[in-house]
Amino acid sequence: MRAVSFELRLAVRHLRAGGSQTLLIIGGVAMAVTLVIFISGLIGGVQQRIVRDITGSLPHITVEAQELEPRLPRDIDARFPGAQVFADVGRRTYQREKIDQANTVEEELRLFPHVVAVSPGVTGQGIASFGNKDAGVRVQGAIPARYDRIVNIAGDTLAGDFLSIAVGQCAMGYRLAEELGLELGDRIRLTSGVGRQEVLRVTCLVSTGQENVDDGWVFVPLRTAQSLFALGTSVSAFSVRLDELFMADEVAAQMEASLGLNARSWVEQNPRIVNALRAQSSSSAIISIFSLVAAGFAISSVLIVSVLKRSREIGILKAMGARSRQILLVFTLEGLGIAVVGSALGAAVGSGLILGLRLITQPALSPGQEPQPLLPGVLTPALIIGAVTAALVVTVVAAALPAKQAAALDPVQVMRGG
Amino acid sequence: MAEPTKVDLVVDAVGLRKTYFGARPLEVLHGIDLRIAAGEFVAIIGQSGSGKSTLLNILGALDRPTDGTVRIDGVDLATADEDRLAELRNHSIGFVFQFHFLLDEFTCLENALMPLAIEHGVPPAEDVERITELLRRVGLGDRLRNRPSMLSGGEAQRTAIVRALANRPRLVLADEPTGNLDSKTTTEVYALLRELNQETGVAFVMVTHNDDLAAQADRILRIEDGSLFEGR
Ligand SMILES: Nc1ncnc2c1ncn2[C@@H]1O[C@H](COP(=O)(O)OP(=O)(O)O)[C@@H](O)[C@H]1O
Ligand SMILES: [Mg+2]
Repeated sequence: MRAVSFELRLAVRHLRAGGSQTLLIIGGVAMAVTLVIFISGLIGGVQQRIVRDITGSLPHITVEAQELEPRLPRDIDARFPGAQVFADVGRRTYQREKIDQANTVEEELRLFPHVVAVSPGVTGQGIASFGNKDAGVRVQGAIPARYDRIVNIAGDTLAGDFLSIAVGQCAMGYRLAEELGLELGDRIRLTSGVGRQEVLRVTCLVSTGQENVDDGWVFVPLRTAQSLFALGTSVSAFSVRLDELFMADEVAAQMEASLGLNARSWVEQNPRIVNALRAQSSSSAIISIFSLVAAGFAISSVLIVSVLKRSREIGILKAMGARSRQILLVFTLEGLGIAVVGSALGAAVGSGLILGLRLITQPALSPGQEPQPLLPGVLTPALIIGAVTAALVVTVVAAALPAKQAAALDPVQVMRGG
Repeated sequence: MAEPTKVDLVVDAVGLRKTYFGARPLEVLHGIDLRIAAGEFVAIIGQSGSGKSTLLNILGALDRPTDGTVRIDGVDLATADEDRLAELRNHSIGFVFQFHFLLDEFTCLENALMPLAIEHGVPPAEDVERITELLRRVGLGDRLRNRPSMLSGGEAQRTAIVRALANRPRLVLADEPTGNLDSKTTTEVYALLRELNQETGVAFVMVTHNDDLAAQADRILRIEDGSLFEGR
């Protein structure tokens, strides 16, 4: 196959000859890509913070056992003819809170789209006692490292170490500890809703800024929770993290449909905020699209002028045997060259801007927390790749018209009369 | 069956007509018969607007005749597709125009190599050597790395002539190649064309308004009222 070196060389010479005009248009593309990365990264980051603030320790999706339909005595009648049935309510409330084949369910959950982490857990109500003080608490049992991948508690540790919590140990909100008057290393007695007890050493205090967590949350290893709530090896719920927040509803619906379990998304619980966030996402998308389209128009107009200026040159090239598709390629490559350099530059500037602004911080809202960036932009490879790809696509489309014009030029017409 | 022609015909046109379909149709060439053998040097004369460039563009496979058959280097222009015509222009034909039409961003040597770059992407080394040698011969040895803006009119036109010969064509079409040059340079450039014609055996067709130059050609053809006449 014949190399494209001739077309490439011509495109490069054209761009170099373009001088300041080439630089300007590269700057335009860079600006558009910068804007896309900056706006999307910033809004993405702000949204993450908002979502975090409203969901707190809430995972994106919580999967629990399906609530059983109450069975009527006559159904049982039909299955056991002749049996005398007076009531069938005994294990109802108990059963709906457990999932038996935890490993199988977990494997299946991982297969759903956007799922990045799954953590098996046991939740329930309990009473924490220290000295002569008691406090009602919400008990969360899970494997620390895996639970941390869902809600990142370790980052909110005020004292002690969350990830190393072992059997016989627990973590709790720092305000709860204050209320009970205990310090790191003290032992509490934890009594579950079903009446079982454990004595646990407090080895970690967390400060999340979430009232429900800081004031009344106790974290114990999964084993401990299973025994506190008499669940054996069963779990009561899975916490799921997605890579796409706003897909939670959809993924939860899929899980419910195919697993027969009850899946609640964080979206269901915060519909109004979610609507606001969606509106925010759409406006950032619209800004991105407009800036890319503007860059596209700029590329188009520069190339159209370039084709006009070079029509004689195109004519002589055709007279020397250049094919129309070779001419088409020259101008497409020119557009691509602009896009590659411009979007690389834009990716660098956009990323730099996001990372730079993260350095400007505001004081933390609760003790022990890191100071928060004022503008908490997030930078993901997907965002950068997406912005650059979009710029490349826009360029190819924008270059198509002028390149076609160039390819269609009639050499006889353009060279007539010098 | 016609007996096989002994002469090697580079141009073989029969009943060539060309009509421009503008606001009102204009028939510029009224059925022209023209045969040019390999190595001939033909001058075409005629008044301005008589159709000289029109004829040259058709012979150069840049434009198609409205009617008649035209064979260039054995290829029938009527039946060849665009790619075949482009290949014909690249391999068999060289053009020289009144204006040199060199590419601004390329050096003298790169410009002269352009037909080879179009064909191969990167011109083969032996061709680079051959063209460099040819440029030296026409007095451009110290201009190889210069851009067109640094060349005089005569130097630029000599570069364009070397470019026309770069791919070893069978036919060079020169449309008023000296039309833009002073008389001294005109004489030089003409001498060069003639010399290369005799040396390479390439057929040359040159449109000119200069009667002295035309008189030195092997044949003179005159276009008048859309028809072609031998002699002045
Ligand atoms: N594309 C065109 N459309 C219409 N008329 C044309 C076109 N090209 C040339 N002509 C006309 O055809 C005639 C011959 O033109 P041309 O071949 O350029 O003449 P010459 O080269 O002998 O001066 C002129 O009258 C010119 O105006
Ligand atoms: Mg003319």
